[in-house]
Amino acid sequence: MKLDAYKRELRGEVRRLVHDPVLLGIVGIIFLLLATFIVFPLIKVIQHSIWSQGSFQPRYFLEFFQKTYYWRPLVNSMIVGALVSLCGTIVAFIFAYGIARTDIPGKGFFRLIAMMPIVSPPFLIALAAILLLGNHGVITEALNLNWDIYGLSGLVLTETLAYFPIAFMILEGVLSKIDPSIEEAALDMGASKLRTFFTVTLPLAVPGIASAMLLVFIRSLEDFGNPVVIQGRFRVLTVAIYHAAVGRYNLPLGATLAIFMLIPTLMIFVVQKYYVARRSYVTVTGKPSGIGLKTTEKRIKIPIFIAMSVLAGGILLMYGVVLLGSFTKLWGYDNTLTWANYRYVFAVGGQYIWDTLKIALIATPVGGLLSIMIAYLVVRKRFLGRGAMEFTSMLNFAVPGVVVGIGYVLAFNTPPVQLTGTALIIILVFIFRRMPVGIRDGIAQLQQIDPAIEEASSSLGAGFFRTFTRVTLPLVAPAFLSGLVYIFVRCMTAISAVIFVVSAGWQLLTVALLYEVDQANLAAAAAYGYVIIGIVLSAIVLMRFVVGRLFRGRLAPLGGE
Amino acid sequence: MADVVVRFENLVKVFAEGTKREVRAVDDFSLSVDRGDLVTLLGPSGCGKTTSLRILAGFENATTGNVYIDEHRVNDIPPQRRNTAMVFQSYGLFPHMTVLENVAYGLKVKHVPKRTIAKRVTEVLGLVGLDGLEKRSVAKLSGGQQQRVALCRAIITEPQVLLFDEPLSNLDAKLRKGTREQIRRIQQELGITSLYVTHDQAEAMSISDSIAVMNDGKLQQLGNAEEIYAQPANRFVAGFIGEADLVPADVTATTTDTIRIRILGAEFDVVQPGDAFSAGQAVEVVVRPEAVDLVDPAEGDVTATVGFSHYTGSIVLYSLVLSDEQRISVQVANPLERGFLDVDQTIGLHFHRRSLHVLPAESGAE
Repeated sequence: MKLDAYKRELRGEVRRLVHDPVLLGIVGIIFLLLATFIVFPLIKVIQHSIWSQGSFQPRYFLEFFQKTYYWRPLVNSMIVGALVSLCGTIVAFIFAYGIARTDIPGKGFFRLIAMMPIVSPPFLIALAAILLLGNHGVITEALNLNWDIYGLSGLVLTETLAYFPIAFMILEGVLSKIDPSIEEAALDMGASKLRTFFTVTLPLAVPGIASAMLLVFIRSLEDFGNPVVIQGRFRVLTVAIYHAAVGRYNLPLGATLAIFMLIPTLMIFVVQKYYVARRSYVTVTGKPSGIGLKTTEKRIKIPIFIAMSVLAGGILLMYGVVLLGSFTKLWGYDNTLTWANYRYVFAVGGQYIWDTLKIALIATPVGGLLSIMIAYLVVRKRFLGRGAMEFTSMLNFAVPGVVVGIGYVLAFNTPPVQLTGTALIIILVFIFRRMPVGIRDGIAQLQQIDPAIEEASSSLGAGFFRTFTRVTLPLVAPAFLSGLVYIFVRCMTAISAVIFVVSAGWQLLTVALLYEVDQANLAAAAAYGYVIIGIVLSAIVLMRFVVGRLFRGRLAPLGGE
Repeated sequence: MADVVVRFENLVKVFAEGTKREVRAVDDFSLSVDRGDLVTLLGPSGCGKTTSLRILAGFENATTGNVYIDEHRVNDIPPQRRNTAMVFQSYGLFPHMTVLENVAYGLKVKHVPKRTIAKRVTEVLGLVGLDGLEKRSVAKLSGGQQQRVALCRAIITEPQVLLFDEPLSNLDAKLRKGTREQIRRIQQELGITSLYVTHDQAEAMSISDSIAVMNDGKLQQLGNAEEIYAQPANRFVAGFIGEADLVPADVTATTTDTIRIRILGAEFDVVQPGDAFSAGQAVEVVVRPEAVDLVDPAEGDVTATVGFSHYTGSIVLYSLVLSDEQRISVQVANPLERGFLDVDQTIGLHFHRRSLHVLPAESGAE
């Protein structure tokens, strides 16, 4: 009975696809791309971890728990992840509470500070930590300290600052959307402000806090840039994978370690998405609920303001010291100001800048269009394998960059698809790794748009392509463009996946930066960092300008009345 | 045989088939629409009317059954290749285009020459009194104007069938009346075969050549406005169209023109063909609030006491208590002239013999 129904549904869907050849073609092409560039590399990782020279040999799985050298990085990563998740969420909660629920001054400034780590290469913070607290760091020398920033403390410090913005964005949303009348009800029944906070506000925010903690945990777990700079002898898993796969070219070991990276991240992702996120008490109505209860009490406000100022000051100090560092001759030894580092970056790294820009300028529009196209198909079309398409395209949201990187090395080093050494493989990494965010935003925006608008188009005789280009795309323009900005920024700042696929022929700015850190040429590294920040900021400003010009007055309110 | 443009044949639509959430939205629904007619699908929300319309447009697939347009089976043809055009409840206007661009869209798709498009757009906008607003952004129009743009956009393509999906439900009451008259006028002028979905019986009765009353995915009755009101086919139609009380009764005799019934202790002839009934049969009588005159207790068919009254200006509605189980609503027009009854007052009821309607009793009473 159920099977019959399923068969009939299937037949209907097949018929429908056959009668709409354009849709069929597009769906087919997208599936082929997803299979090749998302699923295939992952299969290769699994295959290489358990299969070698034509037989089943899970050698490193068997050895993993026996050799400290293998399992220690996993444990270390978990320790760092747990600490960063805790510290990052606390910092984020202070910022979010201060901005969403108090009337402190300078909210715009604090929000800007909290967003800075997002537009800069993540490991710039690690660089700053070295410049400040390293062996020859300003603070180390000024206070004549004898400590070692390389290791657990450095990792927790840098990753906390790098990833608290993610938690901040979630918590600010949650705290500002809690219906103030619920808290007013508690106050009305005689609860004190403090009691209301602990018995009403905090419990309502718990799902948001859990989400934030899990996401920060994942980010810390999969972070490559900061650890490779600052881990010292406290080895974490991402760097171990890189060293195994690229340093020693032991791909089976790299693949096995990658599996041990993939399992916890996927598990946490599933818990976050399907368990925690569904427990949310906050109903998103689409309309901001207006002004929530804003604390004006000084005894709450002032400590929060001071904490936020100290944190913001710390972040500014870090960016400032990198900026200063980019203008010094030899940080820690000869602090004479000079343009030499930027001259060096443009002379030696000029080619890298070009390569990076070229790759970004191809990956950005292609990735953006593909994301919106997939979002459109998933939300609006019913076809065979729609659920599979959504799942597969979002998969890389949960797969750590290093796993994607090693997957691409394993998958595209040999025919049928040999891409090693080309620019294309870097472009593909960027497109398929960054698409999930574009798809998620596209889906969210499409769900806001009355389907009748597109149905009207097809009822008037417009086929798939015309409806998509003339009606859908203009309507989702805001999501499309923010997707473009996101992909571009990530092309400029990402390192974890692409470091596996760069080659002598095609280098990236982030990789060049890392190389200079490795060579202890911190001033040049700092200069690279600011060149990247400069490009990213100009691109954002330019994009805003272009978008403003193109869409002024064109983005009408959606729906009927 | 009449010139049939649209034909649904044993249409069935099941959503989420084989799961716990399985819903039979449309259940063995058959209907034909003749050329130039406007047929309304009328029913409460969830009755399957919109689903049927969307299957005709091609937005949904039929689970089983067939859909024909001009006797061509269109089940597997995608919406863009069906010559239908829909006017949506939410208008579905392209918010990023002007009035002109919206209305011209269907013709552009069909590669009609630009000059012809301009001429046709002016023509259809003139039909609804929107000429001169071509350059206006649709977002800057009022709700009524937006709905008329949506109408223009649909009729300009001269579709074989024009589809309306509750087109007036987003308008306020006054605008609704004017717009529905305009829709009917244009539909008749152009002679476009139309299928119109609504849950508003007044709208359906004023606009349609015939009305298909639907419930639970099934066709309950097909007829013109007078037929569905005066001769409801079953208890559902009687209750859904207008106000009605259903009063149990027994048939005592029948002729070809009348049915003699015993109702609430009284016995009289109802003017209705008696062929389908036989003496002794249990029936239910549809009593409309206007089908009863209130008279002196001695002169009535039966007597009752006044339960409560509800004054709405032009009429007063009384709830009359006949027994513990039986109440009847009766309305009296122009109460200021005729005077009011007091609660608990005893009153006589005289039933209009032509306005009552006898139905076979349905098992499983409410």
